Amino acid sequence: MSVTWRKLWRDLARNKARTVLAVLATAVGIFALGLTFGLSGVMQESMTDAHKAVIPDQITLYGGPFDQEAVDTLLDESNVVAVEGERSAMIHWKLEGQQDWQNAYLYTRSDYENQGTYLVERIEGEWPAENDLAVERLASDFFEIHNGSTVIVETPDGEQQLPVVGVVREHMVFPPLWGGSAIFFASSETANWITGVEIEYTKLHVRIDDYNEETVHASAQQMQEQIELMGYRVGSYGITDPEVHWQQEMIDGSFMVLAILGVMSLGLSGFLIINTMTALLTQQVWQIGVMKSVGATVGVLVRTYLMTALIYGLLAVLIAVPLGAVGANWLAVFMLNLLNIEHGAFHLDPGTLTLQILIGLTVPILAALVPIANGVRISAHKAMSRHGIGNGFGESRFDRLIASFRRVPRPLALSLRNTFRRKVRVSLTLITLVLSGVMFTMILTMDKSFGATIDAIFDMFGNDVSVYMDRAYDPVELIDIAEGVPDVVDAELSSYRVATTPLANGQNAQVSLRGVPSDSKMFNPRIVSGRELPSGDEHAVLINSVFAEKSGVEAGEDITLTILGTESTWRVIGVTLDVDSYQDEFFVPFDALASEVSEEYLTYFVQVKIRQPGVESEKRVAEELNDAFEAQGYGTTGYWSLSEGRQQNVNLFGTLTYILMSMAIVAAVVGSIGLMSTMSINVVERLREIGVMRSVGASSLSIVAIFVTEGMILGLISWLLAVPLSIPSAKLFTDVIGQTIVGFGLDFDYAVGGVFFWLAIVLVLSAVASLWPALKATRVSVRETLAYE
Amino acid sequence: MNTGRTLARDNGARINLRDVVKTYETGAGDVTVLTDVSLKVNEGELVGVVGPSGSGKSTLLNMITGIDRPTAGEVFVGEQAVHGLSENQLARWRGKNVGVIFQFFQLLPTLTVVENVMLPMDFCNMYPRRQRKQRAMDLLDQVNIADQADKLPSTLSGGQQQRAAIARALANDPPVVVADEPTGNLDRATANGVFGLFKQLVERGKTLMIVTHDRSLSDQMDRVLHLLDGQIDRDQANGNGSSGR
Repeated sequence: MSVTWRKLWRDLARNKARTVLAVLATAVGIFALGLTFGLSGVMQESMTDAHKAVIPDQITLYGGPFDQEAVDTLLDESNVVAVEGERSAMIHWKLEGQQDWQNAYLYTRSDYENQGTYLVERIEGEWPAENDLAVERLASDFFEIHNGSTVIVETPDGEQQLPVVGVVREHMVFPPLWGGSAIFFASSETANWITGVEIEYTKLHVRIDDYNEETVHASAQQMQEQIELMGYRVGSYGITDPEVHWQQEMIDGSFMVLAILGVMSLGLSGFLIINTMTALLTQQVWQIGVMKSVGATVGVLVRTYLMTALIYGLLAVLIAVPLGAVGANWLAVFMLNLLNIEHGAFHLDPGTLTLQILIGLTVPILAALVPIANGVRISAHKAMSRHGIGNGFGESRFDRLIASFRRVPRPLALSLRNTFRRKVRVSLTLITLVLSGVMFTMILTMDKSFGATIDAIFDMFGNDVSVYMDRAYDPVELIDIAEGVPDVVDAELSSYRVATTPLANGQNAQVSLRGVPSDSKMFNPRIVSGRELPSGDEHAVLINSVFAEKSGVEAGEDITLTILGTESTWRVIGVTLDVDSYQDEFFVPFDALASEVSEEYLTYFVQVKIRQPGVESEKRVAEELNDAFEAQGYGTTGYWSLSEGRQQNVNLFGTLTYILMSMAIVAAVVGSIGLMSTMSINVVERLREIGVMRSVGASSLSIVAIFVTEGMILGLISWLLAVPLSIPSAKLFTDVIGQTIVGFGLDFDYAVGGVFFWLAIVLVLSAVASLWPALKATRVSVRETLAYE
Repeated sequence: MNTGRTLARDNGARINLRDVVKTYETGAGDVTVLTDVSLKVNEGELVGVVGPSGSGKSTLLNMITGIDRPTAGEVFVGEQAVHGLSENQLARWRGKNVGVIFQFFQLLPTLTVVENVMLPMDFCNMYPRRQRKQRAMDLLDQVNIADQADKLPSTLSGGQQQRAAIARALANDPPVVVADEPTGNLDRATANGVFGLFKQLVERGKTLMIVTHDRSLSDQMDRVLHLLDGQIDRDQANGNGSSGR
């Protein structure tokens, strides 16, 4: 081993603290990349695999009831490969020993063994047969309903105990963790017996062999019309891309955000490496002088120190790659489980691995180039003749300005002026801390803005509970029945019908038309542009902002709506912020919709306001409404509760916030490593000054106070710089997040509390990060500090 | 320790070293820098310490200031057993009782000249806050650089910086002042000026110990200690000076 190598290894080993800081600084960035890109890679593959494994249907027709004749009719179409009929019904269930009933969906397939498309997968036990149930795997985990458990269900004949004989997986599930209901599977006979209603199917899953984004809507509409002509009612249809998981778009949005934060963390790492290398060279100036005097050329020195940077990178890769992969897989298990996908074996994404190694080895070298070039340029004479206390202060106008603050105690003046002695180093540290603060505030603001947006959206509903009727009934009677339910303070009716409208590219978009009564007190949309709905039966429509953006249609223009095969022209009078997660709701006057669609093709829903809104009371009122309607012979298909919907949304975005908060913590950690590294360098560089202060009477406490104050001044300045920067950054971030995840800009709600929270964090972190170097400073004896070279 | 304290008081010596040994552990084995050094310095003495490189001059001063600790033996300055103090107690004690002057001045570069002089008063909480500035200005006036008070050290000449360092050493009015090669980095004329200041300090009753290589300066001292291989080879009195050994 050459002497240069030996020196290199010994420097690394002798300066363990510095080596650890440098490796940690690099590792944090590589880890962040591994976590974000690795998670994306692992999830992308698992989601696509899981999606393809169920042999997805491309068209789903909702409504019914349908029967085998409808299935056979669709199967006769030349492009149809498979049709799978499915029934879904709402039931009440509980486990033995439980008091309260819970809602669940009961799904039914006619032949579980021979499914054609949109497969339900058996994971454990048997398929459901006579008088037993299978449970969906997420419900099995969350509600602790295992294979072999007994479930009590409510039937028209009273409570019945049914054994659970299997655990199955359904592809599209709203996770119970976020408030989704349990899902059970049964045979058709068992479902008929539990519900007391004999229905074959309420959904038709259709798989076609000529899926094409442009023609699939036409195919779906044709199927809808064909089935409706046979007397079946089709409420709406859904389209699924056979290559793309149904949650891919939302996940992609989250990943884009994560990737931005990952790259920002890498940038922070870069600054830290520059700082550490600068420190290393500062400490080795004398040695550089000696090496030069015995014949080392600039090239040899540059190579030696670049090799040090490369070793930092290598060590960092060794630490960060496994940690990043474990973190990514751990997060992937959590997120895939929410998407009801079982994560298989531990997966190392090859793309991410390559990226990590490449970046881990190049970024330290690139970051080290400038400090190394500056460090080795010093002449041998100058390098070896650095005696006494270094200057580096008082030469610039800025220094003289700082020095002009005279009315402060000397120790504080020392802290204040020392802060600005090494301007490049301080700038790098500040950049790191400021970026950390900006990231932190961005994420908290995003969370707050999500909350504000959810609140704003849910305020627009103006009602607490909606009960969906299975068709249109006499409005006066429906309102009378609803107002007869205790705790209901007001009731209103809306009508509903699906329609299509052409887009600029020639495709048709499916839209949900909601008929709003002219005297509605509950309908309170947020109008983005234009005006509110008029009364009467004018052909006026409020379109949603997502559609407006996609189609380029503005208030004042006319659009064509095709309802039940008949085209009609409607005047767009305004654009609203859509409250529905599908982003396809249009609002029209109740009477206008009624004049366009005969009653038998309309569905009503009854909306009520209740005395004391809340998840529990809304659920109770919904069930009382349901019972009251059914007692009078009016069929219902389900209900919606404002509090439950709000909670589900809060939970949904809460998960995203948790993941992003982990990145904020990474940012804070990187910031403090940066500060700790800077303060360590400062201590090393000022050992002689510490000795002098000691020799003129400074106690350990005075020394610690001087360094800790300096660290906290840096923290405070970084905060002062981060605050103004965080406002536009957070605005941009919430806009991007809103657009990518929900399709519209969020209501910007700057996290003022979060900013002060960051101030507290940054002050504590600064104090803690400088405490260790400061304590180290007090442990060095005066003789050593004065003899320090 | 009590014996030492009594002894120091009994003899009226300002500085009293008894059988001081200093050994450093090095990779090549232990190196003894001071061997059984005993020494008394009286109040108001101006003592020079001379000797070749490595003879233990700076180590001897470090024993007195508490900047370094003896391996064996006792060090008293006034009534204080210096060897018995912790690092932290030493810092406070030194700030009040010993003024230290370095070859390379060692002024803190981010503080102005007057602030450098006020720093020991702040650290040791000496003199009322309002009086510190005036006291520092008086000290700067005594060393003839009051007009440089508000400048940063980097703008001063070597002689001016050493004058500032002397003013700082006197900040808390310590009875003992030690200086390690205080004129080593100054030209002859400046060195003479600085030495003149030292003489004034002695006239005011301060006890001074100065390490120097400069024969022309050591000749003007009351007493000169010649160190060789870690021992006092010769303790020479000049003129009216007297040996304390």
